[in-house]
Amino acid sequence: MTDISSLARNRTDRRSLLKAGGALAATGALTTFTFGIRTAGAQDTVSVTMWGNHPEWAEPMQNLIAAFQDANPGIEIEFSASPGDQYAAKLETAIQGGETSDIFGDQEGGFIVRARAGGDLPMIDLTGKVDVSNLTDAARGQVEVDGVVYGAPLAAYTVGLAINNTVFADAGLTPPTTWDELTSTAQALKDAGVAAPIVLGGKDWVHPYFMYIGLSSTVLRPEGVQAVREGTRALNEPEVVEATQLLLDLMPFYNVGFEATDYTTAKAIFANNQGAMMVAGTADFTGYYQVNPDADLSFVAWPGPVADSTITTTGFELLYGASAFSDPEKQDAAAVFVNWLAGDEAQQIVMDTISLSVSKNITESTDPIRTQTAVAIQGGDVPVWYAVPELNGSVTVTQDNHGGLWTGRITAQEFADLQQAAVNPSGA
Amino acid sequence: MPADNRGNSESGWRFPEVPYFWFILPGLLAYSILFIWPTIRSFYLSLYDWSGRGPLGPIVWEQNFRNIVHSDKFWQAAGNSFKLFIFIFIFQNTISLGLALLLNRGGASTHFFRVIIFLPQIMSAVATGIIWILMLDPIIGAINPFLADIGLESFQRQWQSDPAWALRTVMIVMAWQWNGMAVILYLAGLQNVPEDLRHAAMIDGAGRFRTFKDITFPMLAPAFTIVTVLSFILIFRAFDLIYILGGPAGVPDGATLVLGVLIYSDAFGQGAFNSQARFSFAMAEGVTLFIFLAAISGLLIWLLGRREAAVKT
Repeated sequence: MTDISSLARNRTDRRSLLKAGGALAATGALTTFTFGIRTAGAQDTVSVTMWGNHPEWAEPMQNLIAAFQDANPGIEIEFSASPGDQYAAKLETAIQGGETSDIFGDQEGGFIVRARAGGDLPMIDLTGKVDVSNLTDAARGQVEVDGVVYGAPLAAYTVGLAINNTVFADAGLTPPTTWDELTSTAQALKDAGVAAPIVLGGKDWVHPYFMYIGLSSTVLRPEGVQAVREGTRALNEPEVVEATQLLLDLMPFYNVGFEATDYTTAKAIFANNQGAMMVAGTADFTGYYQVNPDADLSFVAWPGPVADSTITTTGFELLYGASAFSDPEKQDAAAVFVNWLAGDEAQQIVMDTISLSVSKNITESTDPIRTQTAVAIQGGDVPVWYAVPELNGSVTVTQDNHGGLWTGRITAQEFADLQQAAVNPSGA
Repeated sequence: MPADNRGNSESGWRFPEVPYFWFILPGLLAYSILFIWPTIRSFYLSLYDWSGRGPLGPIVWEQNFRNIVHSDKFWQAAGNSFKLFIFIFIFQNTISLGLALLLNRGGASTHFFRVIIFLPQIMSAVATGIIWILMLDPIIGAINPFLADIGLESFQRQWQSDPAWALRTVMIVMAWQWNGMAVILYLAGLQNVPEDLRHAAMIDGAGRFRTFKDITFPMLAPAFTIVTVLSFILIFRAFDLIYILGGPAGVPDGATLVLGVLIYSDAFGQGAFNSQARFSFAMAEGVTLFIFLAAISGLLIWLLGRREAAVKT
């Protein structure tokens, strides 16, 4: 028999849903995406908030959270995402006000910097509550500071070289694996009439920076980058300077006017088969396919100075922990989620639908670019330099001086000297 | 018995004498909250070491302002802003004034050309900046192929990446954008020049140039003052279109960096991953620019005001 009161409740629920839908649409219009997945019938559900910085990942994040809630019906997550360039300001303001999300989302390098700075931390110690044993060493290095575990990264992203297979096939070439091959391949592509053998958006610092740290890291290798961080090697050593010199030697093969080409235009040149190679991170491929859905692309590691010396640089999406500002019940719920996030079930979902997994056990993906990236990483991988406190100054040096490299205001050696001067071995 | 003594207080303040107060109050409040208070606050924050987040650091006003004086980038940006102003000043007092003189003659298509000339002024700077970028691009742009099509291959340039041409390109685009304002202001000024004065001069044997030099141009003194002072202020604090064209670093290598863009970049950094936002330093730069603009604008208004007075007498 139908319960009249339940019908009334259903109508109310439908109205509420409509209202919620309207509110969601309005909120979406204000550039922040928010959703919450309610667990039916749960009377003692703990509801926790969670922030993200990729509104474009709304659907896969919804799926990830739904999978968690299926496995943990007592916990409900209310997720919202702000654009990446607004996230840092939002987070720092929230920390000052003691109003962060319950599942605390910090930017890469954040846990290390905050833990070493001491004082009252905005995230709590999750040692013993979060199992980080399956995380890659680099991922673990982001969330475990001096033996204390603060959380787990959502995902990783890797930067290397995107290859336009169509352009390479037309020219009868294969992707380069050494510096000599990089130069000779670029020359062959130019001879074949390719407008931009190497596409570079030099208007802002991002592309030049990733080329610089990628090529320099092929010289240094992971142990060398670690040595620079510790102060036992230097970025202005002659063989490392050669990487910067290579950036200059490759100038004839960049797109004409690359110094003033913005990131978006560079992507369009590459995706529309006018360019052959381009600096790319895992997340960039979505943009390429938006420009040209038929683009035939692949991902390779940075060519090295000699054979078998390729390398990739890897960074991390938000590091999730538990907020120090939340009440203990919510902190426990946040810890359960973070522990689940560090596990293989969550990381397979990440690998298939969001970005690269941070688990050592998850290397296969339904996305071919991510599978290729996982292979490329095997040649050697280092953290993106801005993510480690000792090398964070490399960003500012590149911002201020990459233009000087192109115009001849400074030499490769002078650029390297400035980079070395910005290294802070203490990481303070 | 007085008919109405509302607001007639002992202090002498009389409501009937300032009824407009209530009309200007909303605007005054908004202006105070959105402009006066932030300006005062900027002066205050420029004294501190502050990244823009978290609590204020120590007072370092001397260091902030000393760093500005010793900053190559600041002087490079100031120099570029000055060059830009000089170019715009010359452009507006030659090309824009000439267009205003042509439009002042009247004719069937005058209104059409007024709209065409003023259009860039009301278009979104961001949208026009992006369109210019696309047109100027050496691979996918339209300008170089157009020059080739009309036999002017030798005029093809890497407009935005050649250090010798990047600022000139910005100057051309800025002149295109600000031309409409100068034309309209000069046109308004021209319509206030009495026709009988010009006719009298021509009857006395003065040619077109002499009439312009001795009658029309002096009578345009108020418009000249407004165009010059407005251009000075707008160019020195220009941001949006130049930021779109040259990016936060003023590519190539600071060739298109102007003060407005420099202040923004210092305040908010040059993008994600940047931990080097220096908000209080940027505010010190802003305060320096504010004082400079106020001083020079005041001087210009005084000097040009004297010229206007001389013309009237």
